[in-house]
Amino acid sequence: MKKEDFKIQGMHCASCATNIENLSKTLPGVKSVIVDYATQKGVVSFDENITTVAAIGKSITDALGYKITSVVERNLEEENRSYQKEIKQQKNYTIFSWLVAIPIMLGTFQEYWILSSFVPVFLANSYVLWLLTTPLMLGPGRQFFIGTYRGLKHGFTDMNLLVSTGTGAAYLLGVVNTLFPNLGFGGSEVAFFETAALLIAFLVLGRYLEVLTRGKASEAIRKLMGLKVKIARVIRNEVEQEISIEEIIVGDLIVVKPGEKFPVDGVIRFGYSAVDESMITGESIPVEKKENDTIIGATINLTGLIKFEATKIGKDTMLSQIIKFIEDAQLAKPKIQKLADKVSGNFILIIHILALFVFLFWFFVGYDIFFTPGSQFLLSSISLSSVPISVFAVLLSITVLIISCPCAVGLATPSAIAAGTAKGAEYGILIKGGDALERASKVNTVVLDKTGTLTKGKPAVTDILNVGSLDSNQILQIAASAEKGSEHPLGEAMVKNALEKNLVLSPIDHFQAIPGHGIEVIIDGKKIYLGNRQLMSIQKITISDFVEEKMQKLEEDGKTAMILAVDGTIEGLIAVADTLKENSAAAVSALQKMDFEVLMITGDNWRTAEAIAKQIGIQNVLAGVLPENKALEVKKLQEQGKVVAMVGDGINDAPALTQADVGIAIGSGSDIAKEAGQIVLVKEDLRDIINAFELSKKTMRKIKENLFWAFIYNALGVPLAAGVLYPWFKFLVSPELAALFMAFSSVSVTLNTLLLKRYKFKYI
Amino acid sequence: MKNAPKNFFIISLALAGFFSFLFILTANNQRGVEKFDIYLGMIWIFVLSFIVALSLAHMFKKDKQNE
Repeated sequence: MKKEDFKIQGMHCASCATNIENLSKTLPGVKSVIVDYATQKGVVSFDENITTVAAIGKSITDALGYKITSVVERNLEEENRSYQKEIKQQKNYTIFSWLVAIPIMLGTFQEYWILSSFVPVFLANSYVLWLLTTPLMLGPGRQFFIGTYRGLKHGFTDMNLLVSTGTGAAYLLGVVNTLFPNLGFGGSEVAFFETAALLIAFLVLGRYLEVLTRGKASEAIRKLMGLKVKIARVIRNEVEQEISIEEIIVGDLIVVKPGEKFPVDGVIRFGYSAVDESMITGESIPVEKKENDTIIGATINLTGLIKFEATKIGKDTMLSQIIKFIEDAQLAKPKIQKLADKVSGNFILIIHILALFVFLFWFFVGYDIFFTPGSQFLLSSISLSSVPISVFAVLLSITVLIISCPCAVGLATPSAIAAGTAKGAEYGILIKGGDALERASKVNTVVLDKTGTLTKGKPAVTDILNVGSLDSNQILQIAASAEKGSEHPLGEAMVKNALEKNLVLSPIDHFQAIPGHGIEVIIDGKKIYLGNRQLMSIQKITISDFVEEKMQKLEEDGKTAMILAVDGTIEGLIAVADTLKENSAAAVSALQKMDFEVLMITGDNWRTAEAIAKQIGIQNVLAGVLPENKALEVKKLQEQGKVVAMVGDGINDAPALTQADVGIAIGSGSDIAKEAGQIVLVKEDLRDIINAFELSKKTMRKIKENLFWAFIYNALGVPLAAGVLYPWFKFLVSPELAALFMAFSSVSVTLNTLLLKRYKFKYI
Repeated sequence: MKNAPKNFFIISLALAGFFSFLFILTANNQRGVEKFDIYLGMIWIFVLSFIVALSLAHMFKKDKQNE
């Protein structure tokens, strides 16, 4: 089974996305399809032995007319060109529509208009109005009729149908009234051309606003893709040469001058510089980088010349991974959107049934009982007294169709998800889609892995105690000299600490490792033992009560204490421990203040685990948990009804990250953990957990608000359009006012979503 | 299944025709209704019921496929 992304051109509403999904599912070899209207993208799972994306695309194009292109390598310029073309087209349509609609409106309203003296009389002539309206219907209005034809040809209904039925009916009524004024449909005095013209003008305006909003959804991806470097300076055969980024291979040595961007990910082999990583991590302060430090492609080299070795290229670079992450995120629909899709999917059918009933009611019952001569549509020139019963009922029916276009419903969720995930990505919080956002907003329990998540995961020297004649620097110098060649993490920590203190290490004459106990070394003719209690006991070196007491104290604090003995005398103790990350305690404290239940999970023994937990302020500890049982512990918590977020970094955390309701992977961790996590924190800062939760809550609230705005227009508009208030207040919504309402619902959703851009994270 | 869209189209047309006919029958017995009212109503009923019938037919097809 293969999964591939594809790009769609020509979608106009959420129903188009549903139609593509429905059609694709009927094609042979296709397992599942998700189409996102906001980003005009889709992802299809299919059996590659039966079909291809090209074949699926062809079937969709033949059946529905949408252009499908496979996304092997995205062409940013081409996408941007095509998007700009679409914006330009809709903008031109809008300008043209209004340039024509305004004279039509002035002509129709001439006798009511306060500026009637300025409006030429010929504009009121129904033939002139017909002449003006026709190019509007054939130009900007054509897109709705073409969409309707394509849909009906294959039995699909979408908002084009609602628009076409409404505008088409108004236009035809106008034509009939102009050509046959005595037929009884109201005559040339009630032309209906302004209804058709204003409908088209408002609908085209709505479509233009939608295209602009849709662009906002893909803006984050376009921005990120814009960060990519095109040319790199590579040293091959000792010659520096400029090549395109696609030609870089893993292992290439690349030169980056100050002010330039790193083209791909890699490791510094020469040089020292400050690097601006803000575009990837959101961290505004430049990070100092030296030899052997890793660098991320697309970040900027600020100060020194750097030569680095490419380790990740093409789609493996962090930038490409982030782009993929956001693209996938926009296609993962939350439950709330699935519900909205279901509602809007059947909405068009329901509205047509409703329009049918509205017509029948006003034709057979309502008109006779409730109609009052002299009544008018709100903000319309049509005098309802001059139209017959059939036209009256048809107009109300048209208004219902127009007011209920579910465009805003289609935009509500995807636009908020796109804005939320983009906002997160800007600050190094990658959220894998609406589904993850929805679950993250409901979390009440946070399980934190210890090593690599709360702690740095690398042991460091924490205490050096002198219990003999040597001072602490001498103790460290001897211990580090003894451990110089050692690959043991504890030894490495001592060597690192000695080098940081600029201590000069002595050469060793003899080295012997005593597995499980320590080492025996001869330096300057002195016999050195460095290790645990057992080593001292084997060598018959007495540990005094004072030393024992100090050791126990260190061990109670979760540290590993080692004894240094020189020529049979204990000179000092060196304690090594995994150190806490800078903001671990602050993050835990903030989570607790926000009423999250915080637990620490670790494979360490109880004493070490509790010591660390105490430092951070965590009361609930799950210690001695084997890696394979971490997922089980998460499951136990879920069985207690808790919504669990698991935060981890290692390969051993992957099952627990998958088991949890929300898996949060730390960016510095393994690729497997990142793959398993639904949220990835690019920075090491654990306070981003809080940022991620708050952003999720904010985005979910935005989705709900958007859906409210989208549905409230329909919920209020449809009964008004059906004439519910007419019997009491003689109040009727005209079709053109209905189109204005509909355009406003899209505008409300768009503006509400844009507010999310102004959201500020608590911890930056 | 290949001919399904064509069949649905014909069935929907027939249903729309039937509803329009019902409308004419009912409207003819209504007092104060002019001939042009009946024509316009008939066309409108035909359009709307055709769309509804076609949508329902496809919904039915989709449900069948899901089964």
